[in-house]
Amino acid sequence: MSDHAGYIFAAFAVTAVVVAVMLGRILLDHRSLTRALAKLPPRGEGDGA
Amino acid sequence: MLKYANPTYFLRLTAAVLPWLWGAAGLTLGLGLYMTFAVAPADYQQGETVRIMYIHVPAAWLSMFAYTVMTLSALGTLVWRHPLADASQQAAAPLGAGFTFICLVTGSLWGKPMWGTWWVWDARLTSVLVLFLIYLGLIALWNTIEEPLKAARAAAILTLVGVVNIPIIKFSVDWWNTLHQPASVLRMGGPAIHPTMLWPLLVMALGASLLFVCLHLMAIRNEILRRRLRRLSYLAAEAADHGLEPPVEAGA
Amino acid sequence: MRALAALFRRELRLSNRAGGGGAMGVVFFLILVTITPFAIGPDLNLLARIGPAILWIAALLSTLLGLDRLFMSDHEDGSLDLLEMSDAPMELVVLVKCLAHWAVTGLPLVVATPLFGLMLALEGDALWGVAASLAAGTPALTFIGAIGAALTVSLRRGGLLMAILVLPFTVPVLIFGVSAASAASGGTVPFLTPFLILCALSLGSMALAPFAAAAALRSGD
Repeated sequence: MSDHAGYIFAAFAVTAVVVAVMLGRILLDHRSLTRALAKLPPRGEGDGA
Repeated sequence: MLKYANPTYFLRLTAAVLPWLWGAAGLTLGLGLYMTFAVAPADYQQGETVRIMYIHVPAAWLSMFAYTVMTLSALGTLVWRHPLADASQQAAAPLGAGFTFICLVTGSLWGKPMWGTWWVWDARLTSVLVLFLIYLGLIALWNTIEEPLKAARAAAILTLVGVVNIPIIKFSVDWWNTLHQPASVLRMGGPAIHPTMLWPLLVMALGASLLFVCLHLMAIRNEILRRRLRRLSYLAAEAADHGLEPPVEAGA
Repeated sequence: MRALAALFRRELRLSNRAGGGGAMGVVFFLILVTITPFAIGPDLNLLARIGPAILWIAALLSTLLGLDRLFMSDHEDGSLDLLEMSDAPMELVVLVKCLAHWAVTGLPLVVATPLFGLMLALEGDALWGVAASLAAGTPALTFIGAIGAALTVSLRRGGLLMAILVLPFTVPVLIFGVSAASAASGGTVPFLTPFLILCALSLGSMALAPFAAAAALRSGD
């Protein structure tokens, strides 16, 4: 790697962070949704959303 | 076809498929990263910085792919009024914005050593910036309208307006700034890029697309669950109201 | 047809009665033109060079300013529902409302432009170039803005959201408007090329935007 290694590293790091944020947001969202659904009484199943 | 479009069936199907898709995405991206750093040569003009291209170009491709997915889902919303299309639209918007952001930042990080500045008002960069703004507008629209069905139809209309407009914006920005290098991967008469650089790029593009599909499917699952939660809590609130009615009347 | 003509007259009368929306737009336009030299300095050469751009951005912002009221007041007092129930298709109603809105807000801007251009040291050809490009381009701004106004009609604080939704789509109008205006005072491009594209943008948005805006209004209820 030449003297531009910092830019290359920064580009890959930013990409990793953005993808991680997108994935993390989805996972956290999923956890809170399934928890909220589990609390509700089981009704209206089977007809889809 | 209708069977696949049933949300409950969709949840079961994606639960079975997602681990395999994640595996495929991980393997492809791993191979792509290996090729990016070990196989692909440094460019004779741009040196090592050309390695940024292997994430910049797939991100640019996904920024347009996500918009295509949103367009098809918008048609599903407006023509068939299908809840799965609504969920797909809503799930794709933040992902599209994310990959467009990656495209802009990596382009800037590539531009600094190559052009000497963080940002040039080059036609392609500027078009991508406008696309990013359109994504942000769509996300703002989704967040502002509370009722999911209304929000889906409004977002669908705005997405379709964008489809008509994006080529015009692209054309006008090109006209505004004709001083930029021609697109080199999809050039007429075959790619101009050397095979040792093309293969890592294609593998990375495939891996990034698989990643997008995984994230998109997971986000659609969330939106289905959110709509189900919304409906069930209404039902629960209604049931609670009925349960409370007799004592209230007895007290009155 | 007579109903639509009546609607057009109603829109004009309403905007005149409610404090003169057109006059306010022109005042806002004048204020924007006035404060720009404070930001960039009173150098007349510089002002003459970027004058067309200043006038165009001022026109863009003052067009946006009045647009959020395009459907909102009718939505609030229920007359939008009446218009929707009438025999005239919603697309034509939107078209007529946009034309009336342009006649009240866009046209005064075009008329005022040569005068304000003088303040920015524009001369002869450049003045008429800016006025002509605004006359050809502001209808496109109104029609594109109408889509945003229709999408945000039922939201209480829709003004800022409308600007965020609409402004990216006005990029082509701005690009060709400013190039036509600059080309009029000499340049590498002939005046007619960007000017005709600008006319095409206005006619195209006039043909397509009513459908999108009408669909958005229908989906709102």
